[in-house]
Amino acid sequence: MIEADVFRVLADPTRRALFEQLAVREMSVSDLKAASTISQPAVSQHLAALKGAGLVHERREGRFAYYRAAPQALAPLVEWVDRYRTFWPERVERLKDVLRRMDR
Amino acid sequence: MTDAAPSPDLSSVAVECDLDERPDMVWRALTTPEIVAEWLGPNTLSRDGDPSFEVRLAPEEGGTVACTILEAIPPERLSYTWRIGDPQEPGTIDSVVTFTLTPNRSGGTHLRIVHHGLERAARQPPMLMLAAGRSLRGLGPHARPSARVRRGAARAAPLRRLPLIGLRRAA
Repeated sequence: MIEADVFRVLADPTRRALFEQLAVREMSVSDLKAASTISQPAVSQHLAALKGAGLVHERREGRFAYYRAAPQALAPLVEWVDRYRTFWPERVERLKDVLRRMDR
Repeated sequence: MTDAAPSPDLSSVAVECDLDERPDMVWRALTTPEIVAEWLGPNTLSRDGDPSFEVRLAPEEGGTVACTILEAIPPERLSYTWRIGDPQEPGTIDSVVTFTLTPNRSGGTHLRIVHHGLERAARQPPMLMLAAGRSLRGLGPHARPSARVRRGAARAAPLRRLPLIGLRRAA
């Protein structure tokens, strides 16, 4: 079954942008805040959603927390793409057959 | 055999092919319930302009898929949502399938099917691809489903009704 969570969480452009930044390097909330135009509470909220979907790892160091992307959590997306990469060409072959029959 | 083109990004699939039939004929095959049943699957496509329908796929293909027509411009472009996940559970999202029909030089139709998984975010895929270790090939001119489709996806309302009635030509 498809894990809709990963799709839902990444469908938000802001969260996706955060995820992309964290795919480059590990960052703290204030690093992320400095690199974007959204407020710190908003950053934290998006991070929580990303963490909830397993897309971001948190590392604690004293009173600081650092975040990085967990690309392996993208597996449902990869699986989804693989499924439809087979599905649509098969359906197109059927469509061709149907069209040939309509021709007659 | 029809191959899936290099995916423009991690979250979408594109298929292109040339068909011998003219666009109006291909359009009929894409929009007439009985004909759609033959190539896509049993469906509840409506003839009276209702944009919502279901496609009943085999369980291993994902089971019943809930769809809503976003755009239907005969015989050029058909776009509908394709729900991912169990509608009973929170967190389902609508992916978007778009069929684009262009007349080709030999009098047939060039058909392009693009299935976007993350429609709202499909504009900026590069980092996501890098993160997953996928190739950057094919990034070029893609990722530009029309603004109309985009807005339609957000609203999930039909922009043009699908004129299904009267599409069947006398055989």
